[in-house]
Amino acid sequence: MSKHQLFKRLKRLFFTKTNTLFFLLFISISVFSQNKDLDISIDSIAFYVKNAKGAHKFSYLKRAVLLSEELKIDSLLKQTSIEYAKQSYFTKDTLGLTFSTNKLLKHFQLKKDSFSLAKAYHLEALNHKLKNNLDSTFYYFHKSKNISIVLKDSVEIGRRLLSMAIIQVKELDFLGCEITTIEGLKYIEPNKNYRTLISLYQTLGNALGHLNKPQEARSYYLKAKKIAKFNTVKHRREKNYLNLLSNIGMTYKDEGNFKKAVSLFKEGLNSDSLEIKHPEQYQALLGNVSSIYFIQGKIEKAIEGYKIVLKSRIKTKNRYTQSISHSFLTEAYLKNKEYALAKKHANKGLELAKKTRNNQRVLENLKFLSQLTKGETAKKYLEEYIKLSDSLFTRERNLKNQFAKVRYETEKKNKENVGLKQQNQRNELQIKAEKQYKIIGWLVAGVGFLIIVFGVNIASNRRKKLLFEAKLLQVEVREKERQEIAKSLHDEVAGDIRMLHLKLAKTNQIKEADSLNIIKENVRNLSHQLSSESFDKVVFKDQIINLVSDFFEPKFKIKVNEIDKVNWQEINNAIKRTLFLSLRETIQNAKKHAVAKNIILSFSETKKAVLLEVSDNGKGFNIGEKKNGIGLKNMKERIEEINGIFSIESQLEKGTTIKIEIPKNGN
Amino acid sequence: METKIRILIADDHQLVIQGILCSLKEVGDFDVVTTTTCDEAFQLIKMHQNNKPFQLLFTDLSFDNSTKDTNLDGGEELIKAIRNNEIDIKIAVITGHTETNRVYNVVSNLNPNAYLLKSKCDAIEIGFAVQKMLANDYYYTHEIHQKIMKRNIVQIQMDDVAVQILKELPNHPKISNLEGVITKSDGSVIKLRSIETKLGILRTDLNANNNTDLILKAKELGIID
Repeated sequence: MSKHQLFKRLKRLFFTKTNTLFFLLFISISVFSQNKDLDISIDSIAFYVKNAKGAHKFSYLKRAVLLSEELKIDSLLKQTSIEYAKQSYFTKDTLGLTFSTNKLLKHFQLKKDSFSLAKAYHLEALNHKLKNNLDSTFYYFHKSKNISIVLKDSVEIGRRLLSMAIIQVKELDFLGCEITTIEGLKYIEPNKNYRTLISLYQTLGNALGHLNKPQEARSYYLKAKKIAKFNTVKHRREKNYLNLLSNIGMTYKDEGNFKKAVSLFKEGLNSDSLEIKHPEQYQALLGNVSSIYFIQGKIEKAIEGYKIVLKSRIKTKNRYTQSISHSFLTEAYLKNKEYALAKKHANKGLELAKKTRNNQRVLENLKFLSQLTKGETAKKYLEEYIKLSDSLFTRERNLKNQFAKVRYETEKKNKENVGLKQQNQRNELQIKAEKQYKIIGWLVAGVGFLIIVFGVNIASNRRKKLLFEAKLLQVEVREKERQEIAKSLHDEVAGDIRMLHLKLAKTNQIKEADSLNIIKENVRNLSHQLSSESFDKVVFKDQIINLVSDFFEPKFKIKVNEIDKVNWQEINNAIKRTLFLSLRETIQNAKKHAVAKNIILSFSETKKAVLLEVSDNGKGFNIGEKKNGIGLKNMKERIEEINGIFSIESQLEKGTTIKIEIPKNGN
Repeated sequence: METKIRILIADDHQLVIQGILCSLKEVGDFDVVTTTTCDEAFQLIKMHQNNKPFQLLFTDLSFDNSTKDTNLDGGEELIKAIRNNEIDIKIAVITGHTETNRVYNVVSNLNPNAYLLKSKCDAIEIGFAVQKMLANDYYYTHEIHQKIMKRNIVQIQMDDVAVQILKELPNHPKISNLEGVITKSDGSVIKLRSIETKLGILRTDLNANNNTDLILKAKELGIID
């Protein structure tokens, strides 16, 4: 079982504490788990939480909290803290609340869990409530609510608003209460949290009742009554029902419909063993009935009822309501002109009201007492009354102002927040836009860079090409020059020699004539070698054939391979010329120096270059030893001039192979 | 009245012209005009085309005296101009050029009626050539003839299909049997008609009278073993 699952189960345990079976199952499973220490700890936490009842409640819960903290299991710490805080609140233990609040705040700081923060503010509010600092209470409820709004936790929002509304009723800010409850309804009505919803309706009804709008108040009470049946806890459901009866009855009373009011109150009073099960409701209902008797002038009956209520309230030790009973009794005795009794109750009521800070009652009692006494004492009470009334009025106004201010400030803050949010969004958009611009900028820069590289490449290629073409041109120019020389050799020198030869022949100097003839032949050969004209007129293949024919003999066979493999039409003339001259030089060498019998020419073409391989079966020579002849050197130079590669291999008595590779476009 | 045969001699060297003139005098009585440039030669031929036309032209191939203004730069250009104008004149090339490349170019492209070599020829050869030309025949001096023949041999040797045909021909009684046996370098079969055409070209190239003669000549020349 994984740790995570354990937590889940434990969490569920908090919500279904009564499910002992499940707990046992949990224990039994975790016994088998490997992570024993942790499991045992978690078990003990569960044990503490489970058994946190009666006398051990606090020590156990606190231990659970501390153990969770020790184990650094944050989710558990949160759960136990909240549980501990709840119990502390019910027993009015402010120290426990502060402790839990601190734990939750710490948890929030660690985990940034806003739920914890909302809870912490809630606890702080409860703490202030226990200390009777109503405005602080209101303030913290408000803060907690706002965080819940951010978390979109409707139930929490509704509950906090309800608490706030109840405070507002207490402080007589009924209008504010109305607003608050209506806001709360907005959150609670859709999600059918009936308990909170009933309370909200009731509170709203109370506020409306105080604002003298009994009809509207009743309509909300009736709404609450309608859904009271959905309250699953029987005890609470009955309580709700009774409260609503009392409240609805009060609205009828306010409208002067006493008959209807009394019938409703009596319906409530008639319920089974009311006084034991729901003493507060019993007291309220009986008090209400009595107050109607009082209005109807049945003073004795009213006093009787008030007395019972007071007794019951003394029994339940509710001093706050006791002071109310005393007030009613004072009023009744006053009406009945039993001044001594009235005074006694007024004094008692004043004392209790002061103790419970029920200012309304204090004022009432002061008023009664000023009426019941005479001279200086009455004046003193009256003065006290006026002073308190004034201060209360100011306080009330201040409080109202304060509540309004709190609300206003929050609204302002909200507006500011909205503004900030918008600004944030704008900023984000701007940042996004800037980011995009940046990306675009980079892209543009990248593209620009590529273009530059591309351009440079093209430029360098073009330069190379231009250079290559210049070289080719150079080759052609030189070739022309060679032809000029060849021409003059042939025509002038050979012609002159021929003349001389004829003259010598005529004068019968045969020997000289013969040697001159040899010179003439040499010159002619030289001339022919230099010239290689008619390139434009004869296709390259035929030129090669012609060249081969010039050397071909039955004893010197030349084999030409794959000459058609090269598309000669697309090869630059200068390349062809270089190939032609190299070939002629090579064949000449093979015939003259190597005395080869066979020679093989192989042509081939790649995408970028033309290749020629010439191999003979002649004597061969030692490449390292013999310095390359002028013919080979010239050939090499010629080829390298147009960026070609020339290589030669030779083995003595085996033959020589030369390889030529010339790029088609200078690369 | 029998008119004399008119001959034009074009050569950039006066000495050569003198030599040819001497030789022609030995051969017969001709009406000879001489010039040292191709442009003048072409002008003369054109000028006399309808009035006393030249029957024969002796020309060199390379002219060393060409300038910027020269129109026809050498014998090849002159012959080409004459052929292009469809002028009826027999042309003899008399030159020192023996490189196969040039010979082949002149012979195959310009088809002169005679090809003589300055160094080898004498009055007898010139006379023989004149006779042949006037009889509407061709005369190539022996060396040139040999060169052309050698070239043909080389070309045949380079031609894979031709070598195949020459090798296979003795093995089959009928030419039609060769179909399917002879293939191109890419392996595709050559049709009978193409084989027969090729055989005709080979016979001409090697001066053979018939296919048996062709095989014999091919063996003699070392094209096939």
